[in-house]
Amino acid sequence: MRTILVADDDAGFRELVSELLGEAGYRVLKASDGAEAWELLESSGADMAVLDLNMPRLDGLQLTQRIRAHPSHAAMPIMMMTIRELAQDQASGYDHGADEYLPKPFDHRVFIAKVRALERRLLA
Amino acid sequence: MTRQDHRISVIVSHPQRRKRWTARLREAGYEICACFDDAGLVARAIGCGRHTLVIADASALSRPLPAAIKELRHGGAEPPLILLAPETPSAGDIVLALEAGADDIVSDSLEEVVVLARIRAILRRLSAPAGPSTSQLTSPQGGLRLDTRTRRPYSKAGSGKWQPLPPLTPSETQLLSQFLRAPGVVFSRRTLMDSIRDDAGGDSIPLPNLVDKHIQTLRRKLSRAGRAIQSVYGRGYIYMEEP
Repeated sequence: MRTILVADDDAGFRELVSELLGEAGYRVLKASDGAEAWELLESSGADMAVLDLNMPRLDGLQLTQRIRAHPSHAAMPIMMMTIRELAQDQASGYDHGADEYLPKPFDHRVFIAKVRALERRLLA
Repeated sequence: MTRQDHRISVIVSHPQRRKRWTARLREAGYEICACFDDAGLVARAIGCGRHTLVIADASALSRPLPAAIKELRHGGAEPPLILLAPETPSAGDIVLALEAGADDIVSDSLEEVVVLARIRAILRRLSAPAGPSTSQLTSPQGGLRLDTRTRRPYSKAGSGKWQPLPPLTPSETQLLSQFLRAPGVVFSRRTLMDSIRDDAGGDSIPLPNLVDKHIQTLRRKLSRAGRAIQSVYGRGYIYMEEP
């Protein structure tokens, strides 16, 4: 069973995403900010990360860069989520190392389809 | 790899759309390998292995989506495929495309800066190893693999695909590395203790039963593959897979 780290300071969204992933058959680790997410990655490890862009202590971009710079986690698929839909923000997310970018709110089916596509392409 | 190393194949039946996509990608520095409007022709071209990415209009493909994608990839996993839609795709369209095997679906109206960033993200992965790195040890029968860099073991289940197992601690990694480097060799507890101590920097002296504790945890993490770590009465441990 794959483990997915979900990091979002919005508790409601964090629980929603975790529930969707759990129903889709994934084990979920939850973090309320980027620093907690990093600690979880270091202590427990994960196969994929779903990160909110705007988080306290360590935001999604900073966390993505830290993940990409660390040998143990560098290959991990990363999905970034945010309410910010500016094209430049999206491009920035990709160029900071994210593999997928999903604006909030999102269709639940699209979210899971994108998670599975990432898994298929990068974890098979 | 530079952008010039990536050859993108564009399959769009509408001439103006095809010209627009080809031009924007060439302007971004990519080599455009071909721009056919028949998936059959492109499939033959892709067989030469030169294409690193395919961008295709679903309406230009001569078969229903899953079969068309399978043909484009010759049944394999590469190259990555981005589907094009003239309008913003619905949620249903996106799900259909992704479940059929596409890696992404974008519309003509999506801003160029985002499209190019998405392409860069996909191509970036082609230049970097995915999953287990080259720092890896494999068991003799090929059922277990250890990535020593990430301290992550993988087992090959019945499906034939590598499945990740729980990550290991540094000591567990060191123990498993020793077993995989010398399968069939009996290691005494003393030898295994020394290897853990060496890995820890030599300052901490592990208790003898700490080796047993590490082995127990290691076996649990490796699940079925852990059965290959066998105790040899009065001597120590050996790594031996069942035939």
